[in-house]
Amino acid sequence: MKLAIKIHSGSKTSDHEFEATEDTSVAAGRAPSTSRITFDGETLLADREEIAPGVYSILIDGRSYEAQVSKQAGDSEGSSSPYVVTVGLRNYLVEIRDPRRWMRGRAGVLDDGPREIVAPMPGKIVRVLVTENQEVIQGQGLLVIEAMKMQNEIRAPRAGRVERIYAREGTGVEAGVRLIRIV
Amino acid sequence: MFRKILIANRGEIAVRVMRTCREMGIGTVAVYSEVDRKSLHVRYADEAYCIGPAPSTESYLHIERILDAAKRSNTEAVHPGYGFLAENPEFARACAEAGLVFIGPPAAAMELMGSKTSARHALIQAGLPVVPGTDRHLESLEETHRVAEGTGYPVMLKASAGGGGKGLRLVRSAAELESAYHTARSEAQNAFGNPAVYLEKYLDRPRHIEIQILGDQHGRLVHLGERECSLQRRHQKLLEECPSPFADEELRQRMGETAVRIGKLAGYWNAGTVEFLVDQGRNFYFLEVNARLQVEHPVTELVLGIDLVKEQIRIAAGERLEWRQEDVRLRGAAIECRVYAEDPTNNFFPSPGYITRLQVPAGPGVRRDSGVYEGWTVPLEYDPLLSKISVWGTARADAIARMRRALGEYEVFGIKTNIPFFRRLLVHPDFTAGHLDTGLIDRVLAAGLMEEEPPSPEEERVAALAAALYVRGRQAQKVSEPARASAWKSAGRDAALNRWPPRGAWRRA
Repeated sequence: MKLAIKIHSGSKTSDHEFEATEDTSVAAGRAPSTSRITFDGETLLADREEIAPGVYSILIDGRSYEAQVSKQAGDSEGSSSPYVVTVGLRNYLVEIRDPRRWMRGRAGVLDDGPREIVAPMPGKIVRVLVTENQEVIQGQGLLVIEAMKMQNEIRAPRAGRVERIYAREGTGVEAGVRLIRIV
Repeated sequence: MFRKILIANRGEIAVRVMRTCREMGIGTVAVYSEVDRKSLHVRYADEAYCIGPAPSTESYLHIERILDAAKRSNTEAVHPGYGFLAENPEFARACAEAGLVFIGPPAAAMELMGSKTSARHALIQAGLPVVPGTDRHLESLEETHRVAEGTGYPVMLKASAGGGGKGLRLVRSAAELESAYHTARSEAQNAFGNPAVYLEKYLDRPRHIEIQILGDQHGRLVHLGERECSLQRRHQKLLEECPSPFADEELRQRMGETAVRIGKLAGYWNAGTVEFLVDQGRNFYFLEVNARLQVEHPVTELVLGIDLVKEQIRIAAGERLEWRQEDVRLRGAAIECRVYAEDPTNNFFPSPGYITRLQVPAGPGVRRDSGVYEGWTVPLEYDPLLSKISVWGTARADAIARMRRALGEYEVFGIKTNIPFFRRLLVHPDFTAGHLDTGLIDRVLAAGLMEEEPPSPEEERVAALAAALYVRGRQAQKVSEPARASAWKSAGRDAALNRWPPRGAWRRA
């Protein structure tokens, strides 16, 4: 089955076509298995073994890779949210879409849809740096939260407009509390 | 020798101290706060006592509760680690009053050196070099000339009410002083409404170099060489080395002798560190004394082949220090990186949470002092130091290569760490050249050290395959589940997924 894959590497996103067929079944639990994979039209053989839940040793053309797959904190296993895949020393976010069910413009975690920025941990809002309706760029400081004896800036994950500011200077917040909405 | 020691601390240092206790056949007693119940130091110790809820003031700083635990466990001595009560003379005295040996310096030495002003004052009296400067405002041009001459050029005029780079004037010689004085004052007046300025010696790109001292209760006090700790961010040390790439034998000797003099002046025994700032002209100035074992002590241990905790315990037990100054020979080079639960791509924002997987470095010349393990939840109430990774090499270049290798093997999943920052720092040309000063880390970060790397197409297809295997693996589990509902299989799976009680475990005919 062909899959449409979106890979996010840092701030760069790329789209790919991916297909994998097995020589032996995954659930069989037999000795080394090989996948024939087609990535953007190029076909290769990958020898792959699951080392531990979500951890794979993958050999392609003799090169040895180790990949760990998990979901982002808060995402459930069954949803269509992206997978965090660590390959070597780098992290990638991988979205797998079955093209038969993929609908254009469906809002996802990484799309241009509205983003609710929540407090990553309990702390105190020391300073709000933006105002409602302000346009912000990716990485722009939105507010300063004090946690673990240090002051830290929460930054815009992408460019957009500040639609709502829920946070108020001087108040304490719990982890997960909404702070700012960006559209 | 003590039969039992209580470690009044947590995390990696508590484990580290306990390791030496084990080697010496001494029983170990841990104290923990409620949120640390499952922590490594509790699991490691022979005995463990809860001393209160999470906040430090209610637990690790609570002298009464700690002494109570010591009493209940019949402990003879207390090791305070670093931080918390380690430099608290009240605690040292309370231990003595409770009949416990405090493993550290005498309370009086701690008090003298604990206050920066009293320490400076004592040293100035003794004619020892301190970071020159005045704390009071300069009343006139004449006074400014006098103080500047006494301090030594170059000097920095600073606005007393100021900040943000305003009212700052670098003065390289007496000829420049008058105009600098007037412009600094007027700038300060305009910016802050207050023209008052004071003066400090200008240290060009200073290096933070400290000397380890060790003394017994019989009058012997030696120095164990230096550590370079210039790589700091927000005044927090991140990477330390022994020896300092800047120090030669002559500087080491001068600084070492000065440190020993300071120790003797303070009536110091046990382990301590004398910190200095060193300018590019190799002049050193006293900063402060840390009357405790320091975080970065492993690099000294690696280069000298010494166990400082063992020495501390022996000294506290009244034994004689076997090391003489001539025995102190630095061999090879060691580097230590402090691994913090912080996100270097987001201004080092703390990242507490659950460690889902841990892959740790090993192999020749690698030492890891850790307070965490896979499955541990890093609490947010304390300093986010997870572990220290140290390496030893035959020379600095070997140590650097070894640290790069070790950092490449170190993977922490579930939380963010500053390991990616160290990977990049260790290949930065200023670091490899040894051009270190206290401003280096801020400079390299501002210059884009943590900038994104371009994606690797090879890795991307591996990532795609891994994600597809993962999805298919989950689907295969769902398919096989209703067909073979074995209670044992479900129980095993549930246990692996950390569910309790296992689903189906109670479903019996």
